Amino acid sequence: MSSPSRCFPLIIVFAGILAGCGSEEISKPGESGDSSASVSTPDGSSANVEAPPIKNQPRETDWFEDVTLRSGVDFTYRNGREGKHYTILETVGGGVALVDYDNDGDLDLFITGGGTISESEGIRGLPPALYRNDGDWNFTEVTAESGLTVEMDYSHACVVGDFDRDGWPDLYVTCYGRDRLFRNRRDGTFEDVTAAAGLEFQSWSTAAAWLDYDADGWPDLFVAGYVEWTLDPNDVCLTGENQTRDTCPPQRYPAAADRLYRNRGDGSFEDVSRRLGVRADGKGLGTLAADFNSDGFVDLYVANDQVENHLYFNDGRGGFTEAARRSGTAFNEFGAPEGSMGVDAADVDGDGLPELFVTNFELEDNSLYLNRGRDQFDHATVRFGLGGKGRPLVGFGTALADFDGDGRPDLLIANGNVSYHLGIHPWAQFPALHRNRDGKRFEEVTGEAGTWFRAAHPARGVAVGDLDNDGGLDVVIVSQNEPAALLRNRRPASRWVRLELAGTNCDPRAVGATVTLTTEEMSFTQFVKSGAGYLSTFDPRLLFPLPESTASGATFRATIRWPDRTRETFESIPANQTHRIVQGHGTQIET
Amino acid sequence: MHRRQRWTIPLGIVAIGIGAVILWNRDSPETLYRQAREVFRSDAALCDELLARGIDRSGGDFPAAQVLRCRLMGRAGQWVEALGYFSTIEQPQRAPGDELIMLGGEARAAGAVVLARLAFAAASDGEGEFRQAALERLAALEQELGRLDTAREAAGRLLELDPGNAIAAFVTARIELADLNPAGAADWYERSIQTTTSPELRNSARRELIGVRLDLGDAAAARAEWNSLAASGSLSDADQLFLADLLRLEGEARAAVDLIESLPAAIRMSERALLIAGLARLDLDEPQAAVDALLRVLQYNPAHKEAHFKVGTAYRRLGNDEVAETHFARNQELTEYAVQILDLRGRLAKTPDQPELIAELARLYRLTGRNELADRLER
Repeated sequence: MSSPSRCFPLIIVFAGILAGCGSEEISKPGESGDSSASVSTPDGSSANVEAPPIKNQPRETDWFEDVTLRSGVDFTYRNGREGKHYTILETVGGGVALVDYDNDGDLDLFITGGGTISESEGIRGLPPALYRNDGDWNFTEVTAESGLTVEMDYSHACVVGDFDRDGWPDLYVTCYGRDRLFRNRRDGTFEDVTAAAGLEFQSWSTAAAWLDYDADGWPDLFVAGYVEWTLDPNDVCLTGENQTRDTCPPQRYPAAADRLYRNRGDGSFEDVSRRLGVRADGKGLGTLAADFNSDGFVDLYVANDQVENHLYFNDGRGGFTEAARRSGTAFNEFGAPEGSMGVDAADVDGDGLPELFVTNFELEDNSLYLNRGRDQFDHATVRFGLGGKGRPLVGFGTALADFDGDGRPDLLIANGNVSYHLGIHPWAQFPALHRNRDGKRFEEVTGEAGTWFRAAHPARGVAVGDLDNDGGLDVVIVSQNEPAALLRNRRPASRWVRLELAGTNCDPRAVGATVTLTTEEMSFTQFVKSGAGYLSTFDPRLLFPLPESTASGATFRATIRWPDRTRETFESIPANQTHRIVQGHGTQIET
Repeated sequence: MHRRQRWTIPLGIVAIGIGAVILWNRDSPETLYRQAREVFRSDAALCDELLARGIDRSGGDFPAAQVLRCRLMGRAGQWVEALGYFSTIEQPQRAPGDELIMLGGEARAAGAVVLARLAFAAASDGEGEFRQAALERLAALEQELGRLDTAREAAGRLLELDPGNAIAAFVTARIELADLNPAGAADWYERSIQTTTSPELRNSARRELIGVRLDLGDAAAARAEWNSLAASGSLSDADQLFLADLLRLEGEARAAVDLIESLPAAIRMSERALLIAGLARLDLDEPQAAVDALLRVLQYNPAHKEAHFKVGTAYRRLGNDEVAETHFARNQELTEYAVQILDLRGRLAKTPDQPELIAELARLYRLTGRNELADRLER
């Protein structure tokens, strides 16, 4: 973190204020003019430690309603804190995947379980949970029936892809130890195919993303490694005046290598990391696959902790060029690496290009990278009114999504510290919600966001999707040792269009596609992504809220640029419906 | 005659006694000290003679006179001798607090900061009514000398004496800033602003707080402080740079540039003005103008890592990747130094007495253009 020195004029203010420089006049106590009124000791964390002095009741104006208690979802990600080993493993947290595993048209939930850490048993994974969406905010746990109660290592993320191209979503779960690939059997159950897929490596994997980087139609897999750490021996980190024990920072450990696996199309994967120049020096916590430079090929961004971030531009020939520095997305505004965690992308300013938003550690601004085109980004955090907002907080999960249905993506940030005692700011922190104002600024509206936002949480993974299919984007948030929260959007747009893309010549889930929906008045661009939100998977369908002024009965045109670079349009799309857009069924556009 | 003789002897004895008492009182240490104070400004030689006699008569232990003698030496420009002499005083805190504070003030004004620190520290350890005044001066001096631990201790003692002490809050704010805790600094600046009745201190705290708010990127809070400063009616041309910076953060890059252009050349061409102008020109997508401004910043400070990064960005926009890369590389080099500095500072905070680490830190300070810090460290 760095900021420009503003070179305070070093006025020797005391010279004029204090009468000590040769003057014979010395004030006595009580004569200095300074009141002796007691002022409480400033506490840098106060703004974000104490709960607001109001009763935390729902309000009519709230953006979200916390529906967790009535939803039937009762699941807590466990980080193993109770073992009091203060491991860095406990800092990472878990995520949630919004996945329609039974292909019934609504989003179900898969939440990773984390694990326990003890002297006797070491690091043990806890099972995840799968909840079936029965509609009207009723969920039923189906983990056992789905075959997902297998023994699993300490888990973090879940990313959804269709690696076998059968039209049914599969799950990839990252772990400390051995990751898991679960193939969807199309009957409501999953099978562990990790070994058969050749993905039985041992590492500390955190974020992951599915992306068909070589455009052969078979989704490939990127897995971010965090650091090389073991429980035995576990470092002891003592900090603070009282030398209290707490979790150790990532600076103490070497980076764990990131990995890229090419899908061979036969159910197995090959490690192409070295061949494709995937960097091994990142300490990855967040990743996002999408087409960042609008060239029709899917790219990859990796948010690294304490070291520079990586941006891989797809060269369209089956390779990547790492260009974070060149593109202006590696560092903060002044060239310093940050402790980066979550990442998302959306067209914030309405120019059709995806901006990148990255959450960062405390005392650092979160980074909004404004896409200027031609592979160039500007660090625009301050310009968009976000300067200083994130500095008291440790940002993890995040989402750029249009929650208020005005056509512009708003910004949600889930915060929570990694230190139990010794961070400058507390372990549980307030989340933040910022409204997009005309694509030029963000305005904080956390106070109106809802009850969940008016309390502090040790939050991590965030996923966004329309869980009740009402045209409003809902949110699921996973916290550390606290029940996952389901937040119903109370501001769904009255008119909307939802598109579900199906690639036929490319990734069946079309990660990397760019979709522009055109109305008579304006156009909106969205991107099909994988890995957004921190350790999580968003609704794969693209929801376009429409302006209130949209005429009843109006239809729309969608222009799709698929991740194999083909383009086509789909005309006469009516509102308030979900449309399955199948590649090759529209009108081709010459590229 | 016989009768007269009979009374003469006792009277003589009495007279001699009275005379002796008078003589003794005239030459008592306290009298000599009082007389020395009276001629302190008018006759340095006599003053010194009187002090010497007084100290001698007290057996060499007369802190008030010894401190006054230090001041006398200082007045003659003999600050090194004064420091040496001061160090022979067994319990300087027994000297009058006001005398010690005056010695400290004079020493500080003359650049004899070690003696100033000793004098203020002695006064702050005394039991008189000047402890608070001494602590205010000690805390301020230690902070300016970069001795953050002792500055913090002095400020802490001051706050114990007077929890609402605005100067202690101001000093603590600067300490927090030096400790790379701008959020904490902002809190203390606010406290200083709230508690002081000195307009000068309030405006100084407000100026520094605006700078902190701007560095924190909190434009709304910076704007509020700016409005208060403007309302005080004490704005200078240099203060306008706060407004320029603020305008840029508020997305009004053109207004920021226009404001800077309207300022006197001495301000307009300052390092800070050029940096703000360079950043604003980049916001306005005027990379050549940004390069022009930022290269001037680098003339002032070749180790300005932020300017290197931004000028690299501007060159890249101009299509000059080769030059851009050199600036990015320099930025990375300086950033690496900054990381090493942080690490060394942390290690030295735990175990200060490591000469090789101190030397390395000073070297890194020099490499990053912070020669003043390096000098201070080496001292």
